[in-house]
Amino acid sequence: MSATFEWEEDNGAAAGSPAKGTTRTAARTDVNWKNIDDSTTAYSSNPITGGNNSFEKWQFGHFSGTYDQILTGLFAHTTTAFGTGLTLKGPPAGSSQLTYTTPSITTNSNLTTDMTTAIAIGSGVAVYFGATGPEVAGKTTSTTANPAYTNFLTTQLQTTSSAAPGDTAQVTLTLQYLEN
Amino acid sequence: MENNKLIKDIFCAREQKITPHLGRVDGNGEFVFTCQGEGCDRFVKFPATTTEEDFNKLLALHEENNTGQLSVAVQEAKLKALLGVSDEVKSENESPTPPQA
Repeated sequence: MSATFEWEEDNGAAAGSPAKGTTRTAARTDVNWKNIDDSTTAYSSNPITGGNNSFEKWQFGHFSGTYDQILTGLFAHTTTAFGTGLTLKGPPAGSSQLTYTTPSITTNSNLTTDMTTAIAIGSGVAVYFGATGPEVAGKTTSTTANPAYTNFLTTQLQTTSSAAPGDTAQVTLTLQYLEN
Repeated sequence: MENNKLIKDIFCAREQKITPHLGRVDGNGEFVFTCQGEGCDRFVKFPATTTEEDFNKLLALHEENNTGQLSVAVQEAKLKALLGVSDEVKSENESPTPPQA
């Protein structure tokens, strides 16, 4: 038996305390950076204008199924290069865990990790786990809770006018974890 | 403003070292610093509301958070160098030298 994992995403105005998105959507299989704050509209319908940023993608991991412990999480952009004029920013390294804010296209200065280069997963940022949703602070590097959630693994695609029109390359973002 | 006054030394995540970056204000009023390293086009953006105090803190965080990234491309190039693997591809149409009669 093993843990069941899925990506989920928050969208919409920050609501509640601690803040989370108005809408939470389960079973996300992609992270399409686009000029609209939702997880379902085709990115081709809402392209990012060169020089602007995407809305942030407030995604996180959700664990269920059978396991004793989830631990040692790492998150990174692991395959395929972006083109010129594109920078992918992601959650900060260290123990700092992001607080949900209403997504916008303004540069989010709390996303301090430059994820533009594909790197070895071992160089990724640490991921934190806990019994309650990503919005709850105080997550730790391991959990025995079931279900369990990661902290927000938020990303934003930032562009300059040098970015070429059309789709970006399809890249892979990896969340690696251990389970026992 | 003269361009040479808009140069700031900032850590480049791609180069993994501090390099000169050219600063400008983009169409959204945000501050964009582009690496001037040879062949590097990486940039760092800061929101329009960034104060001088924020800016210095964000620069320090940027360097701290991005130091030590192990690029896949760099490691793959190293692997080839270690193994003496060349990227040259020989033409499949090359004919072997015929035996001399």
